[in-house]
Amino acid sequence: MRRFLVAALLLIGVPAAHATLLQRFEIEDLARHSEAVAVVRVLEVKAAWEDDAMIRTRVRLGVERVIAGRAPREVTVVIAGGTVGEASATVGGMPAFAAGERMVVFLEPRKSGGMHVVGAFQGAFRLVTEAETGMPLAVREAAKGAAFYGVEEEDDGARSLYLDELEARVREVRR
Amino acid sequence: MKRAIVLALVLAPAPVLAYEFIQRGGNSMRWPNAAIDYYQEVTAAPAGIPAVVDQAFDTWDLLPSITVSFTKVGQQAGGLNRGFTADGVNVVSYGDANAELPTGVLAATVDFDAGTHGCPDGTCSTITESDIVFNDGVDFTDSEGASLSAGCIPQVTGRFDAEAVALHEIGHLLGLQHPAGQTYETAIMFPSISDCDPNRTNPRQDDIDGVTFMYSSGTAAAYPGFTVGQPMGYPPHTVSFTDTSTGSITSYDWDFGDGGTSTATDPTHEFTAVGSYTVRLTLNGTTSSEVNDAVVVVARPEPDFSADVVAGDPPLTVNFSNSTPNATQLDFSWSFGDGGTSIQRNATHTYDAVGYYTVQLEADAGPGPITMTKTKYIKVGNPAEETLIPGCECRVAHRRPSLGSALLALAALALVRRRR
Repeated sequence: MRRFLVAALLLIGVPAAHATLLQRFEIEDLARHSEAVAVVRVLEVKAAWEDDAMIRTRVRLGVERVIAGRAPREVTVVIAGGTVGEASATVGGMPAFAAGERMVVFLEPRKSGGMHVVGAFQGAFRLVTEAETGMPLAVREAAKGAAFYGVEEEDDGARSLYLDELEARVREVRR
Repeated sequence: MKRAIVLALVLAPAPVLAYEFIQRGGNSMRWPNAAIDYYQEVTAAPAGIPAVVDQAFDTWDLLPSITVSFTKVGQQAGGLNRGFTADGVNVVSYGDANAELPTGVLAATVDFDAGTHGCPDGTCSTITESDIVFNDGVDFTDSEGASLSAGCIPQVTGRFDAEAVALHEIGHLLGLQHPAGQTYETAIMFPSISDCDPNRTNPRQDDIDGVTFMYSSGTAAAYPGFTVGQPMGYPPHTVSFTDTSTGSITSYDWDFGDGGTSTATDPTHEFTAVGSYTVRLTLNGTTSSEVNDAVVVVARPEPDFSADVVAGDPPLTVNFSNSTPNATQLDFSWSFGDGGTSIQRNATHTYDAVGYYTVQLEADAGPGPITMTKTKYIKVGNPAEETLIPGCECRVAHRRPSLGSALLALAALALVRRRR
């Protein structure tokens, strides 16, 4: 079945783009919509053609610490799109993961298995160490292929804040 | 020729393009044919929303400057793939059977690409299919103006305008990407769509330039636009409209929102009733620009006031009570006649000097102040009287005798009589 679909796609074309309209979420909104907020390490990132003729990326995350809610020791986030060989399907605004990175993710259950990142790219922050202070920073890069609805000012979605502040804002909502 | 235009745009001093195309392998993605069919899969569609989406397709379709046209082939519940399935059919669906859209995603569009096959000059990448998915977890029932009437606070309603979202997503279907900048005004494809933009359900010039560049029909695009001379006033309120449209224009059709219409280029219209009016200008019978709340006519205020005391010796403290109807919706300005002023609704003022004072209260509902004047309303001490002399455009000031001065006069009179 999958082989048939991939053959069909070669005739029809591959999904390339990828434009997504988002509701802008701040930390509090993300926390409110999440089942769990956790510090995780990315264990594996794997994209594949699936039976419904769509490329999806499945990201295995090892949960190091739960900030709010409940999460098992390992979760799988499923993202629409990805790259398989020369075929690439990009759905705008989806979060990007790289194996080995530490991140903070806002998670919600996905109806057909696995987890979603709440607010698409908005709910995934890379953890880096600030050079000057040595403090952990949660960093979110600008959206790619996504736009915000209901926003007055120009906003590319990029954010950077100390992990302490992020956790405090989550707990303020989830206590 | 197209290459030359692209180069000119890239090399021009203004670095930011006001429209951009979805790229694939360095080429812009576009449809090879003029006719694009689409289906609506309405299994999880909120009531009324598919019709709004059709309207958004029509809006793009009616642009005379482009060759592309949309045809709705069918609308059904079931029997079509929902979501981003490469099946050769362009489908707008609601909710996603495969749950690809997390919370916070309103809608997404995926264009499928077959490389440069079918591309006329080899510089584009052919779109073979496009699917639009609306997130069924989102309330799309916000019609135009609902958030505006809520005070224009973005997302205050928690609802979203399906037409604005559809228009934006169909732009992606056509191959438009979010532009990095803007030339004229915020485009429908701009990375941020404002709830407070009353014109968010019309393609703007930047959008039209983008699709015209890709799918030009050879007809110069007409871009409707106008300015409103006096957007706010009291009834009857006469407003002049100035056309700022560009392009090839053969006709003007104005709809003033109160039943009045005009075919003039720069019309003037009198609004007789209180209300908020949406004004629409349609060019050539097709391309429209609509501005919600373009003219707002508010009830004329009727300022009035009283004072707890109107006469007394200095220092005289007077409490002024504002009895203007609907006072909470108005701005006020007091002028107490001695140089003192206040913008309080109810005011207190102390008069230190003897005199008559004329008090004014201005009430403003937005368009401008309406004034109530009470002449010589406050009397402090025994000020000089003013008497109008008949037949003379002049006044004579004199003092009313006080009790002391009267007694003094009587004593002087008695002294004179005794001497006699």
